[in-house]
Amino acid sequence: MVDVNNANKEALERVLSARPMLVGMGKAGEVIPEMGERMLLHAGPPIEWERMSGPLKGAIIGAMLYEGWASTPEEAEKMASKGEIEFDPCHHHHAVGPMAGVISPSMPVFIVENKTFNNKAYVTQNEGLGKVLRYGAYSQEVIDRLRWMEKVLYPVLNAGIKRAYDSDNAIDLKNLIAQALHMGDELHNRNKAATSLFLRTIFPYLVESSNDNKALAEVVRFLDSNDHFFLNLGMAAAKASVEPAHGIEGSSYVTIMARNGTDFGIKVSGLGDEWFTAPAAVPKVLLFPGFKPEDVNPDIGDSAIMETLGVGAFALAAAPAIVQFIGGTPQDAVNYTLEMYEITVSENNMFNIPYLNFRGTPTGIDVLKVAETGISPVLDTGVAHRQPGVGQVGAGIVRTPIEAFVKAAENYVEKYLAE
Amino acid sequence: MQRVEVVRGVYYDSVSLMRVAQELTKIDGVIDATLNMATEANIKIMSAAGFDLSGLDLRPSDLVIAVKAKEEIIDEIIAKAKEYLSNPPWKTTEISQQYFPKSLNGALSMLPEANLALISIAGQYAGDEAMECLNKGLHVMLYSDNVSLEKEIELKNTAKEKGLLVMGPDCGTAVIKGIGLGFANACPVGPVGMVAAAGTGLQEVHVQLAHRGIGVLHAIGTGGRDVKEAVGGITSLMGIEALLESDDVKVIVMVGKPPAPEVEKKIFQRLASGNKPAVLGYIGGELEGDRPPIYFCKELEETAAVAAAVVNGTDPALARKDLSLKYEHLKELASHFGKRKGYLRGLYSGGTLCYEAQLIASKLLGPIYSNAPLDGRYKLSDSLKSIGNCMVDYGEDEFTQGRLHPMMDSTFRAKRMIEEAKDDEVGVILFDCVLGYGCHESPADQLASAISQVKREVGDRVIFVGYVCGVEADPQIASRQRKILEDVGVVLADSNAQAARLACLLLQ
Amino acid sequence: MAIKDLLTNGPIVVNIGIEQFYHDLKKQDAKVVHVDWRPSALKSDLLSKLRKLREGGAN
Repeated sequence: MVDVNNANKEALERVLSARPMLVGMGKAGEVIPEMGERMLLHAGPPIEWERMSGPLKGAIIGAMLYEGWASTPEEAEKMASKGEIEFDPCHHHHAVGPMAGVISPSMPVFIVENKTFNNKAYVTQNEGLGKVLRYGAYSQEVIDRLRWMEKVLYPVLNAGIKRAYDSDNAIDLKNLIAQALHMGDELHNRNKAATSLFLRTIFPYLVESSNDNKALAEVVRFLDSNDHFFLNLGMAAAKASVEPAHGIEGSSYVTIMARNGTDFGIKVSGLGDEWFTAPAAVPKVLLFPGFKPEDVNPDIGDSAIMETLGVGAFALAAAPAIVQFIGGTPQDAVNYTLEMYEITVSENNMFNIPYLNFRGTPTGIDVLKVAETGISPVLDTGVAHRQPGVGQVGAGIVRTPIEAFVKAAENYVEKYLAE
Repeated sequence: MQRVEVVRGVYYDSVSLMRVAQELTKIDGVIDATLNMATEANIKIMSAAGFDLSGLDLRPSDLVIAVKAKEEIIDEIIAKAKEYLSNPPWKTTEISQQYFPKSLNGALSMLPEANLALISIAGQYAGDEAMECLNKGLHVMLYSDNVSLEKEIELKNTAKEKGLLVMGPDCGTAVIKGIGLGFANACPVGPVGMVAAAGTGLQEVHVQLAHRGIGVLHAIGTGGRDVKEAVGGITSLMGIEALLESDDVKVIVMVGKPPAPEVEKKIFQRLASGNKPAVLGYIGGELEGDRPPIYFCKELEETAAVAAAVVNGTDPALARKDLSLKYEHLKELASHFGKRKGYLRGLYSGGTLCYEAQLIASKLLGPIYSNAPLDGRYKLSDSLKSIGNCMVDYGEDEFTQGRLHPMMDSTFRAKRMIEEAKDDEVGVILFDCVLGYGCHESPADQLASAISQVKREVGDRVIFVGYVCGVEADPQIASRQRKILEDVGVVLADSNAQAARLACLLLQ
Repeated sequence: MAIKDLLTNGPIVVNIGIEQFYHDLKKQDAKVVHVDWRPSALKSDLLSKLRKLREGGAN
């Protein structure tokens, strides 16, 4: 009989031994493996144009305008619906994207390398708040910002990262995550401390590698104004850390949780390449002024990779202020973390929570435990408006749909326990 | 209309501000409300939402309160906003609940030294959950009913192999080292060890022993089917074994309906070869003649009286005699209150109490109708419609589907009391009032309000006879419960057996 | 021996079901944890297969 406990132990050890380092940047089309010329990557499991929700469609239109594949939104929509563009999950290319998560060939991406297994992961630069591509906006303002990020932000950051790397001081993302957890961040919905630490770490290298003071000032001001900048880096670090744990015979360790705005999907280490999906949850969260529950788009984004790693909502006990989003008390934040211990393989050895006597965060979602106990993982997430381009309408705690985990558990039993 | 107010030099985090805004928009007449620190981004957002911030000199350390509402209430809303900021209405002052794990494994990681699982979930799930617990090395008290006989046998065989106890299914009461599990009374601890197949049977003997100054250390519940042939008395025998071994237990008491013959034999043989006296309270049984140090009783109070005598080293025969005298005196009490014409209606929350009452009443009044009758010919076709002399057990399935157990809530039973009393063919209404952990915080209050309503309408035509099964240390405080009932004119007896006898005497 | 330990040490309880029982045990100063129980998301035959699998390895 398959030894599920040993298989999961192996998976966990791989994740815990990861060392995700920020080693460089590049253009998506040049560095992301198997990125086709007319291909757009997106968050979540595979999905066709017709089934996509507003924010994802909007982001795709925006990306096509940015690439110059279409000159008007109407033209872009026509091309997309006719199948002239190839769509593929970021996850199929060792990449991740927050919210709509659209990556196009010209977009600059961070390259994160897991030095323990030498695997890489890729992610774009976070655009900031307001009207942004990842929420489905595609106005000129959005395109202009994307171009600025390509022409100004990217070269400055790239030079700084390279300088750090070349002087043997490559930025250690895992280290930043561990520190940020002790400063009130949970690394999904709250990245303020991590962003601050990142800016502090890279700042000297940005200055030293810069010969354009104006550009440098713009970049620094941009990083300062965006509390979520680190999210993308954290996601790539998580992807690079967890990916080596996939493909272990008999393991029920969840290696991907992701949403595309229509479906929620997971992958499990010992169950091959299959996505196990269910309709994405519609988050019930605290809404910003002027928005109603009908405005809320179903859950979207690859950022669930943070909970897959063992932070985000799993580390809510380290970021109690967030629980106000659902009308709770700090004890509720603690309870969410405590609940997640009941469905994970073990505890983290580097990410820990001071309030729980420095107990390691719950790490390694066990799809069998989820199905057995009826407890599905919680996510701590931003919420998009249904219509493309309106933006974020709220944030809070979301319960992932258990059907996806039940499907995977049934598949596991069929594959490994059939008599 | 809209109003914008600025509070300088403060800081609130955005989430708190959003919560306040949310509370304000709930108020009738408020169209929109938003509170933000005056950062550049927030100023843009507020302007986009239609608030006029032009001409205001704003800094990021300023708080902007912006409200759109009916003119008459705008001042009030602004004031409320400030109030909510300093006293958030959603903050609880209580210490919040600790964490309740959602799985057995979660529980065991919090309490690794656990040795017993008390299971009271729906019967369809309870059996499997009990097996899981046994596999983890826990003893099980299975309060749940509607667990199949096959499952019970499987559980008890597995438990036997592992040296573990399965108390139940349908075991509502147990006491381990003086700690009550499920429905249990706060009686003192002492040299008696009990094995009981009957919930309120256990409680009545437990309480009657306490009234006689005798404490109980352990009371092992077995569930109602344990002593049937199919199960073979597995738990009863394991319980007896454990009590024989325990140095602190000096006298063993069994309570329940008579076991199947084979099982009865095994129990008797084990006890006879043991080193301790035993009192076997087979309620409604036929066994005659004690075989000291093993004594046979047929009623609950009798079981307690005999056990007390054994503990004290006095003559059980004398104890029985004293009891008989007490019962004789009930005749005088009955005369004092005056006979009534009509039927006896018993309304019980305790199954064994109802059973014992039927045994007593059938000898004094003739056949008794019931939803759980002694004689199948007298089963009520509709449990809600009494016939003749009748006793209803409110703990039976037809009453507990989708309802709390009658010991947890007497509302349904109290309603029936009113109906019965209004029937002018009814002379006496007999009932139990069971106290202890698990029970309602004041069953007497629930019953008394129905009784006083009845008294107002029908006066003294119907007499109420009751028995409070409980002790002073119970959460409900026995003397307080008795007073509540006496104050509405209920005649209280000192035991279930006496209450049943008195009720019958009042009719003859 | 296990029953002897239960009687000697007293009950240390995992309460699965009615919350009132948990509070009553706490009132008596017993050690108890309450499980906020819900049925498994799996059908019972699958559940028992998985439980047997777990029994194989320590958990």
